[in-house]
Amino acid sequence: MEFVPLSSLKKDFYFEPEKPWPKSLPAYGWQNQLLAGFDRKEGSALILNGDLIPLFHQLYPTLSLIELSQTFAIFSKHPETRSHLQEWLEPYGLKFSQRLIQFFEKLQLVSPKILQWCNEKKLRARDLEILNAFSSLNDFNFLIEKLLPYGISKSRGVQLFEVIGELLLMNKKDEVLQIFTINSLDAIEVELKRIRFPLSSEKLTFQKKELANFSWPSHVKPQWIRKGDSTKLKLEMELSSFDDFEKKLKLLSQVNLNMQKEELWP
Amino acid sequence: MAINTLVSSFDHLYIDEISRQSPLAQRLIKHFPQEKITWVNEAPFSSSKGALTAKEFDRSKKNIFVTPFKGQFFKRCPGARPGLSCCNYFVLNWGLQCNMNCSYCYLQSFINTPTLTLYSNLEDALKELESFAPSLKDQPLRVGTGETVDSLSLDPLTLYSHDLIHFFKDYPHWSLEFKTKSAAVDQFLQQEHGGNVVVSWSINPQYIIEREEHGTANLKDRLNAAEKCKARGFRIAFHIDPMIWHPDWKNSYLELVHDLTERFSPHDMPYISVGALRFQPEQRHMMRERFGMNSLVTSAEMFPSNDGKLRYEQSLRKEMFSFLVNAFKNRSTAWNLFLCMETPETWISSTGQLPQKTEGLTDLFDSRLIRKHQSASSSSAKVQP
Repeated sequence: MEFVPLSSLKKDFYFEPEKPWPKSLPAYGWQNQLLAGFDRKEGSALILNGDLIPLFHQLYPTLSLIELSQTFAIFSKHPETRSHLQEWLEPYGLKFSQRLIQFFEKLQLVSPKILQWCNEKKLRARDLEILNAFSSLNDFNFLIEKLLPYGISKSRGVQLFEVIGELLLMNKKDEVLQIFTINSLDAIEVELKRIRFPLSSEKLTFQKKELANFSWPSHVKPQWIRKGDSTKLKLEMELSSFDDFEKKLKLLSQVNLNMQKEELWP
Repeated sequence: MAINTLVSSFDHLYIDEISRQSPLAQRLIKHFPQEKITWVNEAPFSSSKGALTAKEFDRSKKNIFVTPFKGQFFKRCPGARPGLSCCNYFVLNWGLQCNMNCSYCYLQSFINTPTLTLYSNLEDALKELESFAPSLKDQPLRVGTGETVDSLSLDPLTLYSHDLIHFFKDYPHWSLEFKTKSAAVDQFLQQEHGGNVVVSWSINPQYIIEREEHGTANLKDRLNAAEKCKARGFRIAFHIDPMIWHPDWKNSYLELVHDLTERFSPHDMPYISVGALRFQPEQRHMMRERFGMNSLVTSAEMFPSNDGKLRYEQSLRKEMFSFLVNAFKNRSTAWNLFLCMETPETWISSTGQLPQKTEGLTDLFDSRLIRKHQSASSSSAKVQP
């Protein structure tokens, strides 16, 4: 191993790592290529021996979505690496395919703000499959950027990206745009799902509304909720004694019969 | 569909050199023009690896690759899962991919081969079946050939129906099922059969066929083909699967029931299977990319069910099944319907009882047959070198 001036190294594998290369480590190179320390303007790099791809993995054991997208664009074209893409992708949990190439190409069209959010939440390629359905991402970017300021979690974000994407594909952009006049994320989610799932939303709304027509015992809170492919009645009860429990069970039994008469049970 | 039309629907035919002398290859080269045939030593489109893009999937339907299959041809229907009430259906796969294009097709969830593959070594499949004969010969084994490829849409080219019908003559307790959305039956109607061949059609109202089952035969042609088969002593069956919700679904399915019951009687077929739209969650991506969101399938309101598949809401499924069951039973109580890949709860809420308790269906759902097959499989594995 030897140190060589940074200026003598080529930068075929240049990409923009999100974090600067640690100051405590030298820049690293392989043959006549710089591999790590791209942010350094001067100094030298330690040339590593060995095969390029395993060395790259040691230098970058994890890559974010943006970093993967950049490095994939380089590795898929460079003569040293383009025939070894599967070997390069595997430690990052990915398999080479035309579908993956297509995905990374789509990722280039995602707005920086959205990409930044995806990176922070550590999204994976499969979380963003919806992108593949679009030829242009202009409308998608526009709407998703409106969602981000609400501070969404990863799982909720992934779900809502897909719902919004599908609504765009169903030509419902204007309806979706209207929704962003609402302040609450919960309410936005309800409205988005109402447009995407109109029949089942209407049914659940009806079921929820009808609950108020029954004589529920005190300190019993009924709720219709969706669980997978069915809706269920959820009850929260506060019980103070054996008698209280008995009494409430009798009253609930009557409510149950009434619900059945009204055909409220799915 | 005439053979010429069928041939012209393909871009190319690739034949593995090792399959050159196979009956399948010899039949195909008689029909395909020279410029559409290439002899190869490896699978074509080999640069296409892993998960397919929508374009690659479309392309795979247009390019045939003939090659021998090295795996196991015969296995239990992969739809059977814990928690579902499943019948004793086994599948024998002689190809992979379909030349037709239904928007809901489950092949979209797992095919990653870039061609429509036809296996040139059907004789090995039949030997595999033969190996089960010692322990299962007298059992009511039901073997279908339409899991990974339509049983008959390419049969005018392959004529595999002839080999299969002939084989099953020696196993009168077994039944062979061709499951298809084509009307391609003329090529085997004159074959002598053992009375144990079932030709079945997946059917839907014509409105759904036009919107979601691209490249398939229309409903009338499927029913006509069924009548031809019935006239030649073949058993017939229908699968109303998947039922697809649309605004006028009740009228559509009522019309379907009317068309079916006007032409056929319950005695013409032992059962009709019914299922509602369902698919693996990952399938939605490919469907969306290939068919957009205007399809009744991609825009359907689907939710995760206990077995992991996306399905209509349980209450809607119950309503659809009950409606269909009642539509048939109102015409005759002799109609026997069973639900495919459904939970015991849906069975009870739609039909009033479990299949094991339903007259005419007990044999189908007898779990002892599965255990016998499992035991035969392990014996067979020990016997093979």
